[in-house]
This record gives sequence, structure tokens and C-alpha cells, in this order.
Amino acid sequence: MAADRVNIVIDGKRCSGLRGQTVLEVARDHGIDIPTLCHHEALTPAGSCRVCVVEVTLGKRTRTMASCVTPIEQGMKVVTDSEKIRSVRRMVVALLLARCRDLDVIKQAAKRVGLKKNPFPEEDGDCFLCGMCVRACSEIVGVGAIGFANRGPDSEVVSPFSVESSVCIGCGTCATICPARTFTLEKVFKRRSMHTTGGKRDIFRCTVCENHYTGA
Amino acid sequence: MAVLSVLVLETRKKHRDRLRGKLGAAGYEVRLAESGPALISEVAAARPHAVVLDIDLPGGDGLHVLKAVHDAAPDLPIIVEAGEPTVEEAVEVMRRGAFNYISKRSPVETLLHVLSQALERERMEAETKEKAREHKIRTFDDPASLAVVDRILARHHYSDSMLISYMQDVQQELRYLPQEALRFIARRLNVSLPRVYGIATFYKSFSLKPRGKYVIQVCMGTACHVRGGGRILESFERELGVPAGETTYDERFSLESVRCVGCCGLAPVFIINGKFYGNMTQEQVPRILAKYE
Amino acid sequence: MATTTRLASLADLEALRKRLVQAHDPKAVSISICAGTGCRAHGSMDLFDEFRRQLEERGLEHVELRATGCHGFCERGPLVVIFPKKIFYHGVEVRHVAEIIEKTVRQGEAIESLLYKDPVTGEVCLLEDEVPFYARQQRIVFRNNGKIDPTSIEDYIAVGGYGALAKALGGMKPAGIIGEIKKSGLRGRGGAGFPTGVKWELCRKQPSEEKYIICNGDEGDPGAFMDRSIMEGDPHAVLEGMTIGAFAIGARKGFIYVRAEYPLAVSNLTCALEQSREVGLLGENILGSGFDFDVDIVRGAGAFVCGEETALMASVEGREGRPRPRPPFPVECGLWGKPTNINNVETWANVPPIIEKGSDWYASLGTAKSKGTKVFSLVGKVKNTGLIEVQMGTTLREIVYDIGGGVLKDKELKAVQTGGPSGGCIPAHLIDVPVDFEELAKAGSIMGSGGLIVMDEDTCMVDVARYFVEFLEEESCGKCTPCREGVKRMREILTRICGGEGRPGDIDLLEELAIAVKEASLCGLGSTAPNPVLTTLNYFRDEYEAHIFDKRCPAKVCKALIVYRVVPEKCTGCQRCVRACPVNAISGPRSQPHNLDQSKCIKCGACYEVCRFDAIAGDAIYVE
Repeated sequence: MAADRVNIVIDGKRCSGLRGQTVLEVARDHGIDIPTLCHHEALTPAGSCRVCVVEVTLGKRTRTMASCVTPIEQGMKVVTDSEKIRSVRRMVVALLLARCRDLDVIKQAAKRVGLKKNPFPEEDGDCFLCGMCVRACSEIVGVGAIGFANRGPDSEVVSPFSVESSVCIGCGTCATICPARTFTLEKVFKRRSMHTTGGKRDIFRCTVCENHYTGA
Repeated sequence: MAVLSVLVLETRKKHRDRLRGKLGAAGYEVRLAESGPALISEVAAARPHAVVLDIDLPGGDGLHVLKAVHDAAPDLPIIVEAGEPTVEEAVEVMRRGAFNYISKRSPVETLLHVLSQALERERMEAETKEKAREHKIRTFDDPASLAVVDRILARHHYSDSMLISYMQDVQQELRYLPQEALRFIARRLNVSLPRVYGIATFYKSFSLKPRGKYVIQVCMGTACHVRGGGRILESFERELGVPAGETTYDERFSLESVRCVGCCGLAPVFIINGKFYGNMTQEQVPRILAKYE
Repeated sequence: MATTTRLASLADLEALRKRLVQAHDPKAVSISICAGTGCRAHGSMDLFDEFRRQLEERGLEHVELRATGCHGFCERGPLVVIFPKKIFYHGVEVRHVAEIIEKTVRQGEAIESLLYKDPVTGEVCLLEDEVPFYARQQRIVFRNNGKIDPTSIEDYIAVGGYGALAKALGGMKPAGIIGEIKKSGLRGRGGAGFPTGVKWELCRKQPSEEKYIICNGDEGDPGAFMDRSIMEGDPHAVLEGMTIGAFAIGARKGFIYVRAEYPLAVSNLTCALEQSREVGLLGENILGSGFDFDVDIVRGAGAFVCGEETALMASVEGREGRPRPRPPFPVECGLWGKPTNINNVETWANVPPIIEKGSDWYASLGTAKSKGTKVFSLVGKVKNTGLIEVQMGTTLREIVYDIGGGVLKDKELKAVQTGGPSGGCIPAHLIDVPVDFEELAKAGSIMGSGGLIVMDEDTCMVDVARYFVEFLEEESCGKCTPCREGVKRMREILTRICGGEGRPGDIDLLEELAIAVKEASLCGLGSTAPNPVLTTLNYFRDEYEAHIFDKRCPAKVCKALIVYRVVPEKCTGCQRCVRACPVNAISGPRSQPHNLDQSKCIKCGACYEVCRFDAIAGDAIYVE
């Protein structure tokens, strides 16, 4: 239906998408790449890492928005790569790198946004709080064994009281989806309880992709 | 601190010797039991701090021994080791009261780690109970406490949108949010435990630790800040010997900094159990504290 | 008070009001005591009990005694007003009660020692309205504070309360009500100043059957307590405003979200809710109009970010208060996915007078784009602290000097901080700025919810910026990177500047970081978090430079950059400081100048505070 098609302009290029799609989706459909760190096609977008910010002009107003959570609207003009956006992105990645200096995924992002020298002291965190594991555990697996605790810079992903969860089924989805490789299977097993597992389950390792998965 | 003793029942000699060596090296006093019945009587005679039990006893006796030891000493952490671990067995073992279930093939460090966890938990539980006895706080040994929680949930028909309100009421009654209460709330309302735990750690007014008899809230609002509220807080810290956010060892005072209590006209301000003190100076702090001794 | 039966119609309400007004003799003596939080801290409830006891003792039970909401002049509490003359006493203590009853209540005479004396002119003020603090104010939102007992619905009805609701339900159409609000020019008092009528209209237009309204009483800005005083002092005004709004928007359910730190507000609101339900001003078929509406109170649990509307809604739904991206906006998709209209306490309290007196009247007050009045909490280094309500467009100078009586100890004004942690510092040279949404924005700050914190020459602006950033770091929800990590890094940089370890380049880094945090943050908390830093950098860059390059704190606040020293010529050897020092750093025999051991000194300032003769001089400071 024509009414459901929305036309927008991204980086001067006419793009069209379906009502309800986000700026990020439409951009990627048209071959325009925007870097992301907390986005995953299978999960509800969270808009939390803020690496995917773009400049969105609608009417007279221009604002910096996270493209992964901004729905397209007729007549929207989007700029994904202005000097301002580049500098904001560099700063955001620098902040993440300051939290987690050893994570490959952040180091790659730093290279991509052109961050040369980090102005902040770097720490060796192993989790940059993208929240993909939390979303996957509740949205895909449907058990909600892990969640966020505390707030602000002290936020962390844990199973409640930092002891093994009684609902974790040990499926390893969190480990598979974790872009930082923070959730390794060893950690999952530590957190796994066997109280509710229905039958015997073994863990296999795929020799192609090296990911673990469970058999029935 | 006294040496912690670990009682080990292990059928395979090689593994037994390895355990004795490694645990001994880690500073534990290692005692060995020869058989299931020997283990049970040994626990009764001289209670160790923890037990490591080989589940593969001859005749499939492991599970019986586990249950007997657990029934005799419910608080005693029992770590079960298995040669051929299976999920079914793990379920069975945990149901019978084991602290943890690990593979014999896992490195001894795993055992040491689990052991230290077990002992730490036991120590903390003992400490909490001791303090609770001293100050007559209801603990969750007391079934009345869960009934209190359930009554609060019933007030608004177990509706999950009232979750925060329930937790406030529970904290009001029990002075903090005990782990068991939160688990109970999650179960009873059929909401995920991470959500309950997330709320308990997100909002500042919740405490997972028992708070003191007197709660001192020092206002750190802007007006109090520019009129010296920070110095008032520091003098409380000096007087009580605890930093903000902590409770004194005797659980008499909890010291908290709060962000503006809306009494800026009287800055700097603090509140002790709901009573406001305005226009304060550092000099007055010890005098006012003395009223609450 | 007579027990009130259920009001089944508009006529019933009018009849009741008539009865209440007739029963009240306007010439009778009555006593009203301020029972706002400030006066309570000064002991006003003891005073209340003492009045009651002594009135009974003397057979004067017929004299009405009221514990009212905040009068505003917290500095001088406890405040007592004796009607009908409206004689205004301040700083009343229990020992004064007998005299007040004998002289003022019985004989109508004023007691001069308890009257307010203008510190500048020396003039004695008999009445509340004569006190300069009040004389310059215009009270619309605060119309009833200090006059009525907030726990009595009869008091509220007697002064005309629920008249606006009757007018709305009696003859106005929802669209007409929205039209009035739009025409009045009322803008949201919570901070951003979005036009209230437009918001209502957007919500009304949503096709959903189910809609909600929320009163945002999560007054989190440190240094602001306007909403607290409204909820405590005139809870029915908030309920009336909400009921009118619900009728206009088409909502049948409302929530009031109150901060955890405001127990008295919760209790007075709860009381008001129960009374309203009992008489049929809430619930089904309100005043026989066929309109149903009810309100629940939700207590906050201690999170500043819950003032942000999407976080607030999450909290009402029983979840962690983490904001979500907008759009969709709450008016489209709010509580449980339904259209939801959120306004703050003061906005709701403005609604009844607008409906009652008409939009033209309201629009005649204020400036071109900011109409009506605004309540401010005037606090910090100012002589008269308290709550004030002035027309939009009143200048900062009028507020600080005419109403506030000037800077404490007549020191030099440095800045006025407005808008809480999301706002900024307006420097002394801009003191003639008229206060409205546009002008404050031009000066780099915001209106915010209405905190005005006066800062004098002894306030270090770098320390103030650090204070706000530290506050925001603690209150950040932790969801998005710029706010969670960026605010933390800003705090680190500011802390090292205050600690004397600032580096060249720190100012540039702060600026660059501030812009990224402002641009990229998910919600209002993050995107406004850099404001205190940006405005202080803009107006007080020299103070930053003094800290970084000269290792000097011009205001003598930053501990690492100051030392305390005894000035021997001035020290009388009174030993007060010796006793006050918590670390025994000061020694010396009586009547001899004392010694201060720098190696022991922790710079707590206790000696400085107690030194009556300025012997420990904060001005004997050298740069380390």
C-alpha cells in the first residue's frame, strides 16, 4: 500500500521505507552503514549505546537522534556523517573504551570512528552494558534469568544477588550474543542451576562458527 | 581466626590424596572420613566447617549419606563431587541439600573457590543471625516475617504494578529488604526475580542490608551544600566512624546522605528518624547524637 | 466542622459552600499556625499543641485554631497569623503563647516584639501583606496556603474551592476547557515550558478509549520545594485541577507521583483523596455530571531520573525508572501503552483559577510568551529564604534584593543558580534579567521547576559545577553511554581541578565532552547534565583558570587549595576552637593565641565556624 510507504532523505539520497521502520533499518536497506554497538536484528532496539546517532531534520528542527530507535517520518532529512556527528561518535566510543580498554569490539569501533588517542584514563571493564544478553534472555529465551542491577556507572548485568539463577536453563544464548565475549560459557555454567532442567542436555561446539549450542 | 576444618569423604585414593594436599596447602584443616556412616558420626561428634562428599559411594549410598548429613546439620555446607556428572544427578543432589555439585575432573581451584563461597555464606548468615538476636530484628527463620510480606501483597490483590509500593511497605516493616522476602515477592506476584532485584538496587530508598535503629539523613541539596552541608556530613562520619551509606557496627545508627529534603530555608539540615534539625553547625552534631545514645 | 454528606449535584456543592460561609463569622478571632515542613522543623507543632492546651484552659475553645500549609517565609518560622486582623508574628516560641492569647486573641492588641521589623528601614510591619517579603508577591498558586487547613475539605470549599470544577462540569465542553487553557498561555511548570493546552489537546485527540493523567510530584531538583508546599498546603487544588484536566482530556484515572522524601505531602494528599471520594468529588458520577474519575497516589522510591516522564511512567508501572526513547511521546503511548498526559504539580494547581477567572485574566499576567505567575524557592546565601510567587517577568534583582532582602551578611552577589541540575548559573551582571522561559534560556539557563539558589563571593563556581555533576552521576540511570560514562568523566575532571590537580587542556576537554553528552544522551537528564558546567565555563572561566594554572581557589572553598591559620593578633585565646577541632590540631593555653598544627588539620572548618572573633581567618590563605 502506498500509504504505508514513507519517503525520507539520507545523506542526500532518496530512500523509502515502510511506516514503523527505523532510520537505521532504512539506511542499511539502502546501503548506508551506521555503526552500532547495542543493536541486534533479533532484539527490540534499546537505543542505549548512542553510537548510531545521526542528525535528523524534521520541519524546522534539527536534532541528534539515535537512528536505531527513531521511526521514519515523511519528509525526514537525515545526515549520518557530518563533522558534528563524527565528533560525538568519537567521544561516545572514547567513553566506552575508557570503561573497557581490552574489548576487541570497542577497539574496532574506535578504529572505525577514527579515535586516535583516548583523552580519558582507561579501565579494564569486561562489559560495556549493551544489554543484548538481558534482552535475549527475556525476549528470545523467555526466562529472564539475568537483568540490570544498580544504576549509573555502577550498573551491571547480574543474576539476582549474584548467585546462580534458579530459572537459567543454561542455553548459552547470552554467551552467543555477547559482542564483548563477556558472557563466556564458563560463566554461564557457574550461574546455571540445574533445578529446572527437563532432560539431560549436553553442550556441543560448532566446528565452523566456534559457537556453543545445546542439544536436546 | 581459627583454622577452618573440612571433612572429606572420597573413595578414590589418588583423588583423596590430591584433595588433602591442596586443601591443606590452602590452609584448611583436612579430616578424612572412611565411609558414609563414619562421616555421619564424625559430623555429629565434631562438626566441621564444611564437608566434601564423593557421591559415588559403593552401593549407591551417596544420596542417602548426603540427606542424613544435611538433616543432622542443615546449615553445614556440603559440596558434592561426582566422577561422571549428569544433570539428573545434579538435580537430585541439590534437592537433597548440597551446597554445590562439581565434577571431580574440574581443577582443584574450582573446589577451593566453591569452598570459600560456602564458608563466606555461612559466616555471613551466622553474623546476621547473631546481630538479629542482639537487636531483636525479625529474621526469615521466623515464619511470621513471610506472613507479614504476604499480608502486604494481599492489600492490593497481588497486582504487579504495585511492586514498588509493596517493597516500600515491606522495608517499612522489616527495616530492610531481606533476600528471602524479595524471592518470595517475585514468586508470589509471578514476576521475574531480576526485575525485583533490579528495582531493589536501582532506587535509593531501598536497602538490602539491615538499617540502624536511628536513620540519620544529612541533606546534600544545593542550598545545604552552599551553606556547609558537606561539613555536617563529615562530622557525622567522624563521630560515628562510618562513611555515608553505612550502618554503625552496633546497628544503632545508619548514616545516609540525601538529595534535598525540601527544607532549604533552614539549610543545612539533617533528619533523624523523621525529626528535622535545621540551621545546624558542626559543633551541634555530637550534642544531638548524644540524645540518641 | 459539620460532617458533610455526599454531594450529588452542582447545587449541593453551592448549598454546602453557602452553609460553610454563613457558619463562619468573618469577625471572629482565629489563629493559623504554619505547619509547613520548615516551620515544623522550627517546632510549630509543639506550638500548635500549646495553643490548643492554653485555649482550652482559658475556656476559649471556640477560637478556631488551624495548622495551615507553608506560608513561604521559612527563614522566620514558626509563623503565626491572627485573624481577622491578620496580625503577623514570626519566630514564635512556646513561651509566647500565653501572651499572644491574652493580648492579641482576647484584646486584639499586637505584641510588637513578635512583629516583623524591616531590617533596612526599621519599620515594624503589623500585617503579613506589609512585610516586604510578601508585598512584592502575587499569589495565585499559593492562594490558599496559609489560609486553610489542608486536611479539611470544608475549608477548601469555603474559600471557593471546587467552584472551577463545578463551572467546568456545569456548562463547559471539553474542547472549551482546552481552549481556555490554550488561550491563557499556561506553560508546563516542570521545566521545559511546553504549552499545557496543546498537550491536553494532543492527548484528547488520541483515539484510545482508555487514557491516563499523571501529576508529577517527583520534585527532585535539589534546592526546590515549591511542589512539596503545594501538595502539603493545598492538596485539593491539585485534585481539582486534575479532575478538570481529566474531564477535558477524557481520562478516567489519574496518578499523583510523589517523592519518597515527602511523607507529609503523601499524608495530606491521601487525606484529601479520601475526603473527596467521600463527598463525591472523586469517583463515579462526580456532582451528578455522569463523569467518573479517580486518583491514586504512587510513592517514589528515591530516583531523580523519575522526574523524566518516561522514567516516571515506568516507575508507576512498577519497574525501574529507566527512560525510554521518545517518540513515541506519552500523549500517544504512555502508561501501559495508553495515551497519558503528564503535568507537574504547579501546572495542575494553576488550572482551577484559570477556569474560574477566565483565560483573559490569566493571560494579562506575565510577559509576552510566559503568562501568569511562577513559584520559586529562594534559597542559598540570601537573607530571606523561603517560597515566593511572582509574576513572570519579575527581574532577578527584585527577587533577590526586594523580596529576598539581599545577600546574606551583605556579601557580594556572585550568581543565581536556576533550574536545578539541568539549569545554569546566571552571573551577577545579568541580575536585571526578567525571569521567564525565554530570557532564562537566553542567559544559558532554564526555568526548571523553580529553584533559585543565591550564591555569594564565598561560593566557588567550579565546586558548584562539581556538585551538580556529582549529583547527576549518582542519579544517572546508567542506560545510555554519554550520561553514564560521560558524566562520570566530567566529575573526574572537575574533582581533579578542585583538588588542585587540574591540567592545561582540561577546560577544552570538558567543553568537548559536555557537547557530546548534551547531543547524544537518551533523555533530558543526560542532555541537560552539562548545563551547570557549560554556564559556569561561560561566565566564570577565570575561576577555572585560577584553579588549574594558579592552583588557587578564589572563593576559598576547595580544601586542597586552602589552609587555615590562626591570626595571633586577633586571637583572644577563648579555646572554643580547641574544643571544636575534631582532630586536636589546635592547642594553646587560655587567653594566649592558639597554635594550629597544619600537619594534623583536616580542613573541616569547624574552628572557623565557632570562632566568634574571626581569629581563625579564612583569608590567611596561601597557594600551595
